[in-house]
Amino acid sequence: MGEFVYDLAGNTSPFVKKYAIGGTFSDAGILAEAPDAGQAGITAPTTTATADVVGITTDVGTYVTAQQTDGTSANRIVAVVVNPLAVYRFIISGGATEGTAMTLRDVTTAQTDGLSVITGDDWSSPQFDEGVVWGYDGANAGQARKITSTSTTTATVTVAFDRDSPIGDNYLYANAWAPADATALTAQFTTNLYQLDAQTAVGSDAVVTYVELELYDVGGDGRTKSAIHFQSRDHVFNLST
Amino acid sequence: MDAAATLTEARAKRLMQEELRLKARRVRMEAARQREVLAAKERNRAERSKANSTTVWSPRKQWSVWDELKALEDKGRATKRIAGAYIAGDLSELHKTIMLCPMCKHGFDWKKHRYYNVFHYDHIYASGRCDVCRAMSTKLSLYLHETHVGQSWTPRAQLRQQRRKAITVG
Repeated sequence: MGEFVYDLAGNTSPFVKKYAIGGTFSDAGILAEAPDAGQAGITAPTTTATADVVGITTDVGTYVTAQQTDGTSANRIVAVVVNPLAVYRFIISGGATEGTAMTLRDVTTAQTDGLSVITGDDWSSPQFDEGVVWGYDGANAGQARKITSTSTTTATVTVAFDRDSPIGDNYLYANAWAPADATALTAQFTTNLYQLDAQTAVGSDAVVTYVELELYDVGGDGRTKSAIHFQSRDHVFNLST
Repeated sequence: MDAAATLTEARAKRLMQEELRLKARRVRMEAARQREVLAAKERNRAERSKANSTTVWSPRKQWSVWDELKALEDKGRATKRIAGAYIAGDLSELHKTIMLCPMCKHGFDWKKHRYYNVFHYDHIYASGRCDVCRAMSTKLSLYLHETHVGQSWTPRAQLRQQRRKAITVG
């Protein structure tokens, strides 16, 4: 699910508009795009591209074009939170399917300076350079750092974790950092557009600006509850689009 | 005596004729009223049909994307559609988001219709257009159907409780 949480003008109150749809919105809480030429109304984005975002939906609608026999209008409407400075909160998933638990990476070689997480996994394919790594359990649980370089076995951070990591400690990672690094400005949605697939490579797909990372360790069920707050960089009500 | 009887008979006949004339007039008036009601219903139906007709979007020269969006915006309650029926029937039956200004919100029983009242629980107003009076307001009560609350809105108390455990960056 995605939701409006606040906007960068300091408001927590949503500005809601109701627009005709040009495609089916089967779930609430997904982004909506302005119509392209030939489309009858707002449409859902794809998993990898959001252009001219209108806002985030709060109800659902089935797109029809023919006159209806049940007395309802064919002109279906969906309510959308349209603040152009809106910050959206999306839960992050470990795969393309909503609710996939994020994959843990466990330390295979103990480190003594807090500057690397050596897990034996390939951090460079998919590429997580400029993403985030945080302690899920063990010595560094509850600490998050920006990844500044990667290799086939190691994620390196510039600012050291506060403690050394013994073998067996688990870390979580995602393809985002806040505020967004220039190379990490994009996001990929899960297939149903409900969550963000955070364990794909950094720097591809839909254009967003990360505003805040809301990460959890083992105590907060970080594998399924972590979330990212982001702003669309291609919003239809931004005058520069 | 005969003359008196004749007079009474003639008077009764006149009364009867008068009564028949009045009855015919009542029938004519009733028929006219029925025609008027039917015509009004027809006008109303035509207006409603016009208001709810499908928007066929076609790209026009000089139209910005904002013009397009403005054209796509919901026209709201149809002319002569009773507000209560529109909110408690048309919108709530479809589980649509409802927004009501402080003047109009008292008529809507959100609990009965299984709505989540954002202002009631989260103390957050919404901005937009009231679904009843169509006035723009920054003090709207936002009602989300409970089937959509888990999808598009997390109750703020729950969010607050959850975030106590969060590692935040930003």
